[in-house]
Amino acid sequence: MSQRSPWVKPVLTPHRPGGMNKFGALRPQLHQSELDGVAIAPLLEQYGSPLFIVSEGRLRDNARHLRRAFSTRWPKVRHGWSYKTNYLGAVCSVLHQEGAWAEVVSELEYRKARTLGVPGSRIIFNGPWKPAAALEQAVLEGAAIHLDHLDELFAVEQIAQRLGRQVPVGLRLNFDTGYTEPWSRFGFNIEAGAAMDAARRIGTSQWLQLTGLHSHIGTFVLDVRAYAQQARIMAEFMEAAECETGCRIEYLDIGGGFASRNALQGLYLPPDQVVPGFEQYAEAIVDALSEATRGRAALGKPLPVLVLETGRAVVDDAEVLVTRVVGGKRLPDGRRAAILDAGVNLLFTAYWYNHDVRPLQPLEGLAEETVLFGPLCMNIDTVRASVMLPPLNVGDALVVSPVGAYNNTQWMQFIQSRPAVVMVMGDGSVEPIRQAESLQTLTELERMPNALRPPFSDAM
Amino acid sequence: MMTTSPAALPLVRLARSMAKAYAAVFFSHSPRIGIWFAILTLWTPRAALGGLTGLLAAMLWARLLRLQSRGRLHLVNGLLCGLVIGAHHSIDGAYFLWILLAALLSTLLAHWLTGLFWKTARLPLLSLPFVLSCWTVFLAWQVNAPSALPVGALANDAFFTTWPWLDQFFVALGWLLLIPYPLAGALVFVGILAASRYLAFLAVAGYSVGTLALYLLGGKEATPIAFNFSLTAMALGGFFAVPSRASFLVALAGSVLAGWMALATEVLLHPLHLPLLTMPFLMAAYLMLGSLGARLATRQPTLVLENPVSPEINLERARMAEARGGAADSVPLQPPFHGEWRITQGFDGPHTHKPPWQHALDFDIAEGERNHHGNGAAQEDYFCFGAPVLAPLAAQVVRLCDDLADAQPGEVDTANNWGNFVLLRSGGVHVLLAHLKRGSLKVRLGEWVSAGQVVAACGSSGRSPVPHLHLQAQQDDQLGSPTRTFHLSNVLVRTNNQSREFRLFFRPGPGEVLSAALCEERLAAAVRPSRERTLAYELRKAGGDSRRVTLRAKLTLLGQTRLESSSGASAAYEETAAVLGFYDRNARRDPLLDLWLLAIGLTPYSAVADHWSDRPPARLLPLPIGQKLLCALLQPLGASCRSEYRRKWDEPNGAWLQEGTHALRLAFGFAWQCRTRAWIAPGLGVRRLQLESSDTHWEAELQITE
Repeated sequence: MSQRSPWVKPVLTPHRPGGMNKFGALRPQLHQSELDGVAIAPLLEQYGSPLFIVSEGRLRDNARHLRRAFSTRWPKVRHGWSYKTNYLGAVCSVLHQEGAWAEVVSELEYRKARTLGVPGSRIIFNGPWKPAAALEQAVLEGAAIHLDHLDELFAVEQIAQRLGRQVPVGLRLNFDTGYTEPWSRFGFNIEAGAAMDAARRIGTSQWLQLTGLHSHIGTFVLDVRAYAQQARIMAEFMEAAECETGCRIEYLDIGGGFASRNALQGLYLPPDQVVPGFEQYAEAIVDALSEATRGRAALGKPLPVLVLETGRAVVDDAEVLVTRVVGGKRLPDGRRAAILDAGVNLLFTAYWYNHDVRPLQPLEGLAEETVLFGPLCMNIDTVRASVMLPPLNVGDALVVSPVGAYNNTQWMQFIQSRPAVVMVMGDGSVEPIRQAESLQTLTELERMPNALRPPFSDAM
Repeated sequence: MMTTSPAALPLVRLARSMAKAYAAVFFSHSPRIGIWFAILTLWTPRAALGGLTGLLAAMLWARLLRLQSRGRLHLVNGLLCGLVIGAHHSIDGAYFLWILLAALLSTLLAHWLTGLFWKTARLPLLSLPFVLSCWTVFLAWQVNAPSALPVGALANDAFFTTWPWLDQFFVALGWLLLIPYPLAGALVFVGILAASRYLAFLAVAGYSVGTLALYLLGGKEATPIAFNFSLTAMALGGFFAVPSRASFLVALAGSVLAGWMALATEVLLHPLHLPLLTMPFLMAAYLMLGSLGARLATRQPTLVLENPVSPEINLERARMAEARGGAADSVPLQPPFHGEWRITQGFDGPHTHKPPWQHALDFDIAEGERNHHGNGAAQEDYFCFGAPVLAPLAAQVVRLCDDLADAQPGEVDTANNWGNFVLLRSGGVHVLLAHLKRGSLKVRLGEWVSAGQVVAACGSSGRSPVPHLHLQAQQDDQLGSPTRTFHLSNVLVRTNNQSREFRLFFRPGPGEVLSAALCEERLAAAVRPSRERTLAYELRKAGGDSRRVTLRAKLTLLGQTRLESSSGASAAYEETAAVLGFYDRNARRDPLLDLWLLAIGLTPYSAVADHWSDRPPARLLPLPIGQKLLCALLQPLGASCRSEYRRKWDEPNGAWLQEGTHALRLAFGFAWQCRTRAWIAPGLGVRRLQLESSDTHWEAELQITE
């Protein structure tokens, strides 16, 4: 008896043209349908489009990676979570759970950190404008205050005198590393002598005590040598200031600015190749710092705590934005264009990044150059000026990443309300961490004078 | 610490010195006990006068000859010489002459032999000069017989108790002070009992075992020398050793030995008409202490030859040393890294840590269960790869290798097991750091490195399937040399997610995550006792009125740092880069100092450390009188309580709140517990102290003057 072959379900395999050509293999059809193992499509159904999704796991991994890279190289390391990068309460709380202090640059952020339960003694207070009330609160609560200018120095001194207690303060410094554009508008300049003048002024004050130095050399700094130079200059200034004023510097705050794995516009190489890892930053900084503080141990002076204010590199790739295509058109120059329900109102960083954009589902058809426009009635609302994508239909969803840094703090309410933000938790559950705004969000603070109420005239 | 006017000081010092010499005959340091013994010697006035003369003569000779004798050994020997010669000679010119001469000889011998014995055999000299001097006198008397009285005439048979055995024991004790009367001996025993219950117990036990041994070996009646058995047991079981079952057995064995020695030396000395004196005791003590002292220091019984005090204090110190320092033969090392690392293989590990390389630790870095990014196919994926490796002790680089390739994950280089390595030597200790990254060595052969200095980076060379760091202490400078036991000191052990336990000594097991405990300057500065600053506290007991007590740090002549209260009570303290520890509380009562010692007794300087434990002596606890009696009854040798500490930052008070729970467990389920709290405010100090128990409440507030 002959044996029958078992029945096999018939399969249709699409024939994809252009698989091989003289430029090599086709770029694999990339798509992203899930985040941390959680399918995105149902979330989009539930919370609406567009939708920000934060990955708790990724956030924690990044924070630990940063801490590991530095704490295995320098005995005392502190991470101050840069609130301005993303101050969604849930994001901040994840980082505080990971041991980060709060690094705030305004009264609003200070109060937000306090509301989240961060004690004042674990807040680093930066920024060029710290109102008197906030300064007094910071002094009373023992926050690390970094002075930006002399008027602020005098203000803190007056508060300290009034309260009758000596207040430890830090000085924000600016200087030229030779690698980055000096940000001379913040803090006291070293080369011009303003920084040492300020240190001396603090040294002579009975109400102030200089315990820390802070500087921030720039943002998205790709050259680790810039940080090495920064560490060297700050360590030198520390020695000089200690020598001149008899103070004891307890910490060096090197600010933030580490680049994230995001493609800066105008850079040729992909981020995987140009963006240094935390280990590379750490090695450059710690090597320079070890060299510059070598004599300290012999003199019995403790090594300073190294403070990091890393924001972007910790949060950027822990968040994606999911958006839907609302329409398409062919531009006069022949390029394909798609209109999305999210634009620069939600993606402020689209001005300088070429975000990675992937379809939520694998799409059929030949990829071609496409322009992605946002929903704003503004010419500049372009999410990507040029990206290779297969033909997009209305309702197709795209995943834009990484978007964790600055978008949730710099987003606009211009003609659109802001969408929901959800967090994929470590255990695979999904929690909303910010509800979608509604018209009420926009209008509830408005007050209507009685005289302006309807009926309206139809006269023209 | 008696308070005296400066003018009376030399006389008081002289009297104290003399009293202590009397007390030292029965291994006590207390001048009061000494005075008691001195009074008792008056039972036999002739001997008592001789003793006092001998003591003063020894003092005089040491002064005249400018012998810089430390301690009181020559005084004790002079005293004993005087007692014995005085008892054998009628009081006349020759009486004083012989005592003077014997004191001279014993002083010279004491001065000469003390160092010799200690340097050659680590033996205390004890009463050998007394024995030799007296024999010399007795030998001289055989040429020119003095108007000596038979010493046996001293003894009488008046019974004091209804048990002859007990009377004989008292008489035997009395014989050492030449007052061989039951009542006098009983009073001597009372003195010993007051000095130390355990020594008194040993005196009885040693006497019983020694006389029994002597009887079984065929000896005759031995009362005049039976104090030898007691002395042997007291010396071996409690004074020169930490009381324990082992030291008790050694004490009994010593007494048996003394019995045998008495029998044997009697035969030898009888033809020469020489008395045995303390010779059997000396022989047994030298034998035991000499042979036990030559072993590794860590075996039971633990000897305290350097600074013996009393069995109770010896035991208290030993308990604290064990609780804080771990095993004494283990090499203390710093964690050889920055940050938190995980143990992948501990001592006696299942893979490669087999004898003779069983004492070794393997480390890597992990987040949860993961020790690498991605799929772990490349060395660089591993968190620990390339992380700096630090010297775990100050040492010299004696051997190294830096040019072997790092194996790919999964592969091993069995031709070069250790891979790239640095071998450090410090004294007799050799420490190996292995599997280092190729080309990462930052040290050269022969270079001296300080503890914590970066020496290389973690790699995967040699027999290393995945990147990790191997640490071991070994016996010599050869690769593959047998390992020796070591531990990590001053570490923080991650107990659950965020909590970190401080451990003074730690021998981690697989899976444990640890880091070095670092000093938080502000915390250290707030707790550290200062010699410049007097801490004034307002001490208040619940329901009582308050009083002012001050604490001040001082430095003793011998370089010990102590915290002293205005009442004279004090405790020693030691500070390292990572921790402050108090110990050796003296006997004077002071509730504030006790409160301080309970609350602050062991304080790590790491602000991250949130819990730890300690075993302070139970006498610090403010026990109610009933419990105190019960404790003395159930734990006659003193007890230590179990203290668990927790510390957190107390935001509203702007201070660290250090809480301690101190539990004393007496037998039969009797337990007592109290809670201490200390608020340590940066820039101010220990601002507030609190003690709470079911029946008492103490509170002390720091008075801030400036």
